[in-house]
Amino acid sequence: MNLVLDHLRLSYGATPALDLPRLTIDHGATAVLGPNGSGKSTLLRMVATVAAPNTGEIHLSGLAAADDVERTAIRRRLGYVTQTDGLPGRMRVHEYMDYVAALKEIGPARLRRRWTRWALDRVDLADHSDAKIRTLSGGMKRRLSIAQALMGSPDLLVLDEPLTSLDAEYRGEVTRLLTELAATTTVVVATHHADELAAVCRRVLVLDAGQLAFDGTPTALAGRGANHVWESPHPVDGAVCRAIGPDRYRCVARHVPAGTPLADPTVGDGYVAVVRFGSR
Amino acid sequence: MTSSAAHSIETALARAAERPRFLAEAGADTGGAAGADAGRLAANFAGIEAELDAPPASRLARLLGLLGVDDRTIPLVTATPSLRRSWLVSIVIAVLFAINVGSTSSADGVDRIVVFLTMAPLIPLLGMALAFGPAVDPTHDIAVAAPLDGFRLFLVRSITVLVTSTTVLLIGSVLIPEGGGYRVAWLLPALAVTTVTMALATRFSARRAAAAVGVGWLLVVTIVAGAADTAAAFGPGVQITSLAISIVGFVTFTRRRQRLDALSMS
Repeated sequence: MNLVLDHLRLSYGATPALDLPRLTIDHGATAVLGPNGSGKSTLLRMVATVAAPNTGEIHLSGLAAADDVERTAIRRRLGYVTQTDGLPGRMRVHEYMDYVAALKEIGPARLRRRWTRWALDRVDLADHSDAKIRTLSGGMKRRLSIAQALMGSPDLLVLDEPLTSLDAEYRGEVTRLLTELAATTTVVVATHHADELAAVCRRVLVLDAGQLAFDGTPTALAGRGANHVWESPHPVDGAVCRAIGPDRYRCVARHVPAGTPLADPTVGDGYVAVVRFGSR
Repeated sequence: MTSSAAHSIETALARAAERPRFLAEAGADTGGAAGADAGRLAANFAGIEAELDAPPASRLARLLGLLGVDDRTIPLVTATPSLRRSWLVSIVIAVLFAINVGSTSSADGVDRIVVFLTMAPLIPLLGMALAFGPAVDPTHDIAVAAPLDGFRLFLVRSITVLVTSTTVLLIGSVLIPEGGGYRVAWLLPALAVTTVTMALATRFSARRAAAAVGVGWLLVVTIVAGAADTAAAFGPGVQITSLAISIVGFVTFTRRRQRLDALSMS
C-alpha cells in the first residue's frame, strides 16, 4: 500500500499554506517535522481526507481522495488522531469508543465491544473503560485518541502530535507501539519530538513555511547537524541551546565557536540546523 | 447480565482457560490442526471476556434498544452533541419562558399562544446549530475522516434533535391552558424550518443555515401576524404551506446528500 501526495498546494487567500512536490510514502513510519505553522497539521488533515488542497491530488493505493466513492474506500482504511484531542468530555470512554466504531461502520454491538477492548488494551486504558472522559488526565486522553484510531486495524494511520501531554514513560510506550504498528501499517506522524519519535521512523519530512525543507532518513537528517553542534556550560547568543543537565547546554548554530569540540548530532539537532539556517 | 450469571461464566472460563494451551501443545503432535483450533478458541475467549468486562450501556442506549432503534444507530444518537443535559435543561427553560412571557400582557392568553407558537420552531433550529460543526462537536474531524456516510450521520442527528425538541415542546403545549388546537400549531412550521435548515446545511454550515432560517421565520411571523389575527397567522394556510415547504426541504436535502461529504473536503 502506498500513499501518493501529488503536488499539493493550499492557500488561505493570498497566503500560501502548503506547496509540496510529488511525494510517495510507502509502508512503515514517516515523521513530519516542522515549526508551528509550517503546514504539518494541514498536510495531515489532507491525508486524513478532512481538508482538500486547492490543487494537487492524494491517492492511497490508487484510490483518489477527490472522488466521492473512492474517498469513502480510503476512509475505511484510515485511522486518524487529531492535533487536539477531539474528545467529548461528557461521554464515558467505552461510549466514545462505541461511537467511533459505529462511525467506522463496525457492527454489531458485540463486535464493537471486542474492538473497544482490544484497542483500549493496546494503550493500557482498559481499566478506565467506564470513566468519564473529562476525568482522564491529559496523557490518558491522548492515549484514548490513539486507541480510537486503532479501531478496525487501519492500513494507514495519520497521527498529529500523538506524544503531546504524555509523560516520559508513556511517550516511550507509544513510540514502541507506533514502531510495532509501522511493521504492518503505513504511519504518517507529525511530531515535535524529533529525537524520540522521528528517530525511529523510516523516513522524515521537514516542512518549513509550507515548503518541503528536507526529505530523507533520520540518519541523513542528523547528518545535517554535523559540524554545527556543541555542548556549552551556558546558553550562547545566536545559537539554539537546550538544557541537558545542570550547567550543560546543547547548542546548534551555523558557526561553532572556534576551538570548541563538536558533538555528535542527533535527529533533533539536524532538524534545528535545517529549519534555522537551511543546513544542506 | 446478572452478577450470578457473570460469575458462572467467569468460573467456566477459568476452568476452560487451560484448553487453548492444551490444544496448542496437542497441535504440535497433530500437524497444527489443534493449534488452529486453539487460536480460534483464544479469539472466542477474548470475545467472551470483552462481553463480561464491558460496562453497562447507558439508560438512553438501553431505552433506544427497547424502542427498536438499530444497533448501529444507537451510538450515533447518544453521541449527538446537543443531547447533553445542559441542552435539555436549556430547552425546558426556553419553553417555560415562551409559555409565561405572554401571560402577563393579555387577559385572554392570545399573546401567550402567539409567543409560544413563534418561539417553538426556533428550538429545534437551535438544536441543529448545536449538533454539527467543529465549533460544537469535538469529534467533528474524526467523524469526517470516518467512512460512515455524512448524510446518515446528519439525518440521525437532525431526527434526534427534532424528536427531543418536539417532546419537550409538546409537554409545554399541554401546560398552556388556553388556545385549543392552536397549542400544537407550531408542529408543521417547526418541521418546515428544520428541513429547510437541513437543505441549506448541504451548502452552508449548520449554524449559518439555522441562523438564516431562524431570522427568516421571525420575519414571516412578524409580517403575517401584523396583518392578521392569530388564527390567520398560524391557521390552515400557514400549516399547508409549512407542509409543502417541509416536503421540498427534505427532497432537496436528500438530492444534495453527496454535498455533505464533499463539504468535508473543503
